[in-house]
Amino acid sequence: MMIKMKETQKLPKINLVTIGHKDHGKSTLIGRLLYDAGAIKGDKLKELEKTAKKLGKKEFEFAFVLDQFQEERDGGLTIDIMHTPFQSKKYFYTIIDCPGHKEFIKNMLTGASNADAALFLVSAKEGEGIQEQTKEHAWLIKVLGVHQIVVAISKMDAVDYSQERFNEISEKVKDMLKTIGYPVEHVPFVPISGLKGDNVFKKSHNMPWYKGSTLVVALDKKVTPAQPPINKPLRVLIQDALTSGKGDTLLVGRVETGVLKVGDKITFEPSGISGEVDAIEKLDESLLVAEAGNNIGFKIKDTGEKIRRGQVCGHLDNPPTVAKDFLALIIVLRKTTIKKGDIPVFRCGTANVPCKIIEIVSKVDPKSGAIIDEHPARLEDGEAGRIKVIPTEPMVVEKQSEIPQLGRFVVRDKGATIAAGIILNVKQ
Amino acid sequence: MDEHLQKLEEKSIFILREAKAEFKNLAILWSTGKDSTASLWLCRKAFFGKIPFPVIHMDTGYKFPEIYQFRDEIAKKWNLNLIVGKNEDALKSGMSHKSGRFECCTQLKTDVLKKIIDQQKFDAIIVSIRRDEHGIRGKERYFSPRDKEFKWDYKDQPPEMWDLYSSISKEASHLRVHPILHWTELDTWIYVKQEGIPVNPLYFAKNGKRFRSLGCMPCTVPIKSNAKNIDEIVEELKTTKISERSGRAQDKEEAYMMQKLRALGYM
Repeated sequence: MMIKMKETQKLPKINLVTIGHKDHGKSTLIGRLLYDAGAIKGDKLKELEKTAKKLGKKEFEFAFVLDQFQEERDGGLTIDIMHTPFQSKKYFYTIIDCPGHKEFIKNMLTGASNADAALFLVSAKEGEGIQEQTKEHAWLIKVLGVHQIVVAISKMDAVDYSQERFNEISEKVKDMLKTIGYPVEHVPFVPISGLKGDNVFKKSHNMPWYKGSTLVVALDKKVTPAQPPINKPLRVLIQDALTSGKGDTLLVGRVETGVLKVGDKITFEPSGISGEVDAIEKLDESLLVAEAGNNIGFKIKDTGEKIRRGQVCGHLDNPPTVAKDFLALIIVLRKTTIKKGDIPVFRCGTANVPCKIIEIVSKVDPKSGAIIDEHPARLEDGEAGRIKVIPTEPMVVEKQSEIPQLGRFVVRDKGATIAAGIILNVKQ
Repeated sequence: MDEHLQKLEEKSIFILREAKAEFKNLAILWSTGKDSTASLWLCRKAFFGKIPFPVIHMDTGYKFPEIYQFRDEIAKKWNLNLIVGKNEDALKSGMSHKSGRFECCTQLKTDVLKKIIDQQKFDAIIVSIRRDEHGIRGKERYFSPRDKEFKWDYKDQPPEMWDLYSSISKEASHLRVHPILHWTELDTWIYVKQEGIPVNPLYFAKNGKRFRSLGCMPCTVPIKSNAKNIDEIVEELKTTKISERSGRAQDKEEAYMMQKLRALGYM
């Protein structure tokens, strides 16, 4: 029997990362979104009001709504990413709220690496506007491949809802986004006030000069959920070898890109073992076809036993790329130093391979991606740069621009993640 | 299954297989509630019908009779390798919520789990929390390290880039793995319904009341409800003004109690 589902439950899920300087009204906006979307239930609201009183809050502020969703914060600052859901007419959004200040760049990147779209917040208030952090975050999310963005010009109530001020700030943001490489003509700019609720869920009467959509409608129009990359070359990450209910050895893994069919001629790299797909299995069903996004078990004629975790499967006529060396852009995420000659472990897909950093080609400005130093001796915490790397064992990597799922990696030292990066070029 | 649930399921299965492949000694926590039972179901899918690691049930001694009954039925039916964790010493010396809920949760749940992890040398524990359940759970990572004292340093968590999840590092004693972190309460119910997963009868209304979240008898109160089956629960959740864990006393004792409990290693 089919159950009648809640209408909204069928809504596609969108992960929305919010980016903005710490004082630009992000928490207030998110509090407002949650409140207007009805995401705060009756008893929770009462509890909030009670706690607010106990903690000596004079009024019921919207930033405080979010504070309470997050529980404790440090001195009013977001200290870690926080996931909070709200619904529009079209999507079920999860807001990934990232700290807007520098020390927490690893959290910002964690949030952004899992985002479908980004909401940029820039304050219209006098003396605020674009800040260094805003530029840096804009560049970083572009690097991570978040291409769908909406800009909210916040605190419009603090500038008497001035169209002139809105235009002035919007122009500056446009210039900044253009420098980074965003097609600004397709980016919506919405004047809002999180505090008063103007143009968030409800159309504002304070800005008759603004003819565009509210922020939520602008997001609904702009954002589309990620589609499984079925048109790219086949790549299956091998996670493990398991025994099926019938006692067969099955390779298990996720189809990252492309389509796998029973009977396909395939190869596993970097081992170079090739074979033919005998069967594709889920728990209790056999499939003829699996596509990008599917987690499967599959059996290969004759070769199954020898394949292990870390291998990547592709079609024989379009095999995964085994790198002799590669050029990568990395960002250091820990209080550590990366220097020429280091051999940390690179994790790409399910492979963990020690790789030698043979050259730090350049250090780049995290606000624009521009080269600021050629061949620096080292990269420190929070710095970004291009490095040349040689895997100490055969390893599959792909260019991020071609197969992003295998074009990204993290760098580990004694098990701890110290850096993350994307692959710009691969030499086979 | 509809596309939305299938996407959730795919991610969960990927996470479970990563955990199995990355850690030497893995276990899953099971409260018999809807979420952790759905996780067991996902494990059975991920590992072709058999759960290849122990299933831990934390028995505070104050659970509802229906919980024990459901646990034993399912353990038999699914052939689970069940470990029951109980702090007999604390119970003998009279530990209960009357000594303070914070202390009671710590001794009867957190401390027991610590002991089991120590004794069995588990390096990762699967826990079926969801981000939408509680503010502090919204901060969690899919793979979340705990230090030697089992503390969760939520102010300085490691990066979790894409789905390249954390591994054991020098500072971590074990990791918590959260395969359904991205699900909502409604997602779980609809999934349970569509897949035909067994449900603890405490969730269904009797005499105008039902439990929305299962815990210990003294600290869990039912909500007013006439929902007698999953369809009616789903209908009820559409319009409810009450949050899921409103019946769980340890969440409300004082501001930030859940945060303090979790920082110390509570689930």
